[in-house]
Amino acid sequence: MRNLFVLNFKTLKRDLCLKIILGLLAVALVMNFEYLFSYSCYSDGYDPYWMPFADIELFSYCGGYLVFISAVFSSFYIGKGYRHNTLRNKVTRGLRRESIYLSNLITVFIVCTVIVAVYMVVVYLMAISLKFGFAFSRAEILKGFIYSLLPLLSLCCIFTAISMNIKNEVISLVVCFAVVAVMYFVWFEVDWAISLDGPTYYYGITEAEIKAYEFLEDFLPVSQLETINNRFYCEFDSMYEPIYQGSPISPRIIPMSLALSVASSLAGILIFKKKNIN
Amino acid sequence: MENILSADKIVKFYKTNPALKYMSMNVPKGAIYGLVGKNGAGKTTLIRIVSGLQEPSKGQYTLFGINSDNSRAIRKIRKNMGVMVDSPAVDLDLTARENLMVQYKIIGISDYDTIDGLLKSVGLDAKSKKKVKTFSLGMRQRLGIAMALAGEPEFVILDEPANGIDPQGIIQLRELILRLNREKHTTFLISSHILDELSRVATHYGFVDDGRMVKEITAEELNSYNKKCTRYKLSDIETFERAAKKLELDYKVVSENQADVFGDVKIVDVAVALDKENCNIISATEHNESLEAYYVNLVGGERDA
Repeated sequence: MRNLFVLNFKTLKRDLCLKIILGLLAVALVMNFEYLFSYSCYSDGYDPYWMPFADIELFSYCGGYLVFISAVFSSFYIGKGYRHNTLRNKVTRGLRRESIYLSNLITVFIVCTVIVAVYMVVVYLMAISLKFGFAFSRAEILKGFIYSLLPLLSLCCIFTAISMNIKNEVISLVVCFAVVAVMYFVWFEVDWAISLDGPTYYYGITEAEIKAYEFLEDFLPVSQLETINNRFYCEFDSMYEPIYQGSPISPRIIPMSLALSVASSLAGILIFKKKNIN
Repeated sequence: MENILSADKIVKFYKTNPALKYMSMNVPKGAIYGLVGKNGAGKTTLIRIVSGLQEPSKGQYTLFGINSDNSRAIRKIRKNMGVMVDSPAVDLDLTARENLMVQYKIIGISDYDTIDGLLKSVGLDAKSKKKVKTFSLGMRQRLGIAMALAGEPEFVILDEPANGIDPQGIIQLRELILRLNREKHTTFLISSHILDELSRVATHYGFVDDGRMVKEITAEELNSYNKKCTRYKLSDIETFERAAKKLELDYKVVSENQADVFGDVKIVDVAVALDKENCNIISATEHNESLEAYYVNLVGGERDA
């Protein structure tokens, strides 16, 4: 598998979908810069001593961007193996299908992680250069980044399972987006239910239902990402003291992400092992 | 003779449609085995199963003496097997040389010294640094063949290798196959619709129809079964027919100016007889129709191999 993994990275530099992903990264960074720049100009005009926090901007990738790039990259990168038939070369020369699958999964995960890391570093530098401050310590930010890799891993596992088992990359992407849409729909429902603030007589939500919703909130990768994103939302009060808006990240996301990753990968490998390759 | 590949009653269903119906075949070691059959007869499905791309619904096969039920061992032995199925499996974003480097890496070869020789053998040495996306179909096909030959496998499976290749390329490919078979004792399994071309290299044949192996035969057996034939291009076909009847020739008119004469008939005798009737021979070539004729007799129907 190590050979395959090295091979994936050697051929990646010529890969069109990596170029597309880098293009999407550039677009996201330009948009972020435009936002930070206009915000800094606006704020400075009123209060020269006012230094807004940019923590949430560091984690803005959690709000859909990460889901989008991981779906696009896994669909097109893995789909290329079917489009160019290069997957055949690996199977016919006796490489294990599990190894092919896992090497693709690791490649997708690492590429998305590097993209996110680059995003964070560039946004950090932009924020500093535009005189933004950070309410959270670097250790907290790093912890948030590492936490965000867990839902990313789950997403990569789900998208790889889809992409490895659907020959057409466009159909694969549509299915990935459909899965994301379902996850977001559930999350919206769950978020709305939880925002009712516990069992309420008005809406008739029971304690058991609240527990189920909280479980889903911690379980779904998109809601995990949103939780991480919200965690870093911070504002000043009138005394220039930070007000942390988000709630702490539940450590439950660690076992839940890992469970989802393992389950989706096992399902994906089992299907791929029996798959007819043309 | 020891078989490098033996398939035993393989059945393959795609949903409810049977693609292979108890297909059996034997490819002897050192043979050039020609797989002949109509479109949809099951040739490519059989190749896909043998190559490990698909699993049979029923039945089994042995490869290098290893049974397909022993999935671990058979997977390892595939390193010694080169395959080109259907269309060439090449990365269009890479150059020809890079594609072969990737293939070497897959096989586990770290020494790339033989790549240039391999590219030269398929006639791509001058294009080795060009991206494959700029290649024509024939050039991609050549690269696909080179990929199958990477690592000097003992057993090579080529599905329609002459697809899109120009006449010069076909000759080059034929010579390459014969040379590898002669010098390295490489066994080939070749599926091709170009029967005339196949008959120039194959030592064994398997005739497939409707998902079944209809007949397996050696080239010697096929030659003894069929009559030899010389194809004449003539100035006047009617005069030829008159002369042929006088000479009691076994012949068949194939077009308005061409006729096949079967058996060991001296061209000089035919030429003299035709000259007397004022009919000229424009050309006379040995025409190998034996495989085509045998196939049509065996499978029946139109000549859609």
